[in-house]
Amino acid sequence: MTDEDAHLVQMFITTGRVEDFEALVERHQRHVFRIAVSVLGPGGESRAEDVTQEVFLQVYRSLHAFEGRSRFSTWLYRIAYNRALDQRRASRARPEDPLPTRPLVDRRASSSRDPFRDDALTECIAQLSDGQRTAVHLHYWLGHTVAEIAGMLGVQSGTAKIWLFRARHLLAQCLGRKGVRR
Amino acid sequence: MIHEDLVRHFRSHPEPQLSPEFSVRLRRQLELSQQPRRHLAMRDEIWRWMPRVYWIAAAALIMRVVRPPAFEPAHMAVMAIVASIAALAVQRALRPARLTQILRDALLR
Repeated sequence: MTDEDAHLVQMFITTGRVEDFEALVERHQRHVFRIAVSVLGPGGESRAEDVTQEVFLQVYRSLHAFEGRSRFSTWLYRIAYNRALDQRRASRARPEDPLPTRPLVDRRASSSRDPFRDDALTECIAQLSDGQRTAVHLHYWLGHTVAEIAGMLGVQSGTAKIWLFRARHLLAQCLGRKGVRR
Repeated sequence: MIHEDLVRHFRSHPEPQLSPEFSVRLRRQLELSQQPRRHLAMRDEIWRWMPRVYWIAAAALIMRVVRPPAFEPAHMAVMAIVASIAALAVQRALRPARLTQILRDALLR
């Protein structure tokens, strides 16, 4: 736990004031949202926002149970990752409420591209493992480095690097099978 | 190659942002969630003060019924000290055991 986080957590546990908790929210909401959105993928932004809210509410209710054995951010991001995965699985289990497979895209940017290729890539990304897909979204969509991804997902840098490497390999194979590789 | 494909693919997706209402909605939820906590704290305070109020009222009633003789200020001071010590001793003796507290809390929840 960084000194600042430790101080804020201690202060909130002592006072129980919403304002003290909001300081923690302010520090981490961007990362929590990005983890959720990277698990849910493009098109899942509003659900990611709901997940972000649920995560902070859960942490608010259970922060007194936080034992400080790991960094606060690691604990928080792990909750966010698991919550987002639950949400993704729940959405996939409800056929009437699926996650969008064809997300809204900027048509100006996409006008010069091959929509068939885009759809194929979207389908291939959806077939990756949770870790690989999340790492791909964090790296290629949200622009995070390998070290940042490792920090956000609570894994070693080497693991994040392997996820990205394996994901690229599998995506190339998948696109090849669909006959859209150059 | 696949690296470039991915870069190109995600370039078309706008970077997601939390909506401006997020903080307001979360704050409302946090405040709603805080209300039961306040009620719990208030209930604990009432439980703590009820026996104290009872003993104070009982002492006041005894003083009213049994009119004490007039004492010198030094006597009054000594009696106040002795009474305080006695009250503390009684309070400690009557304090419920840890297990009783746990069971009582469990029943109240």
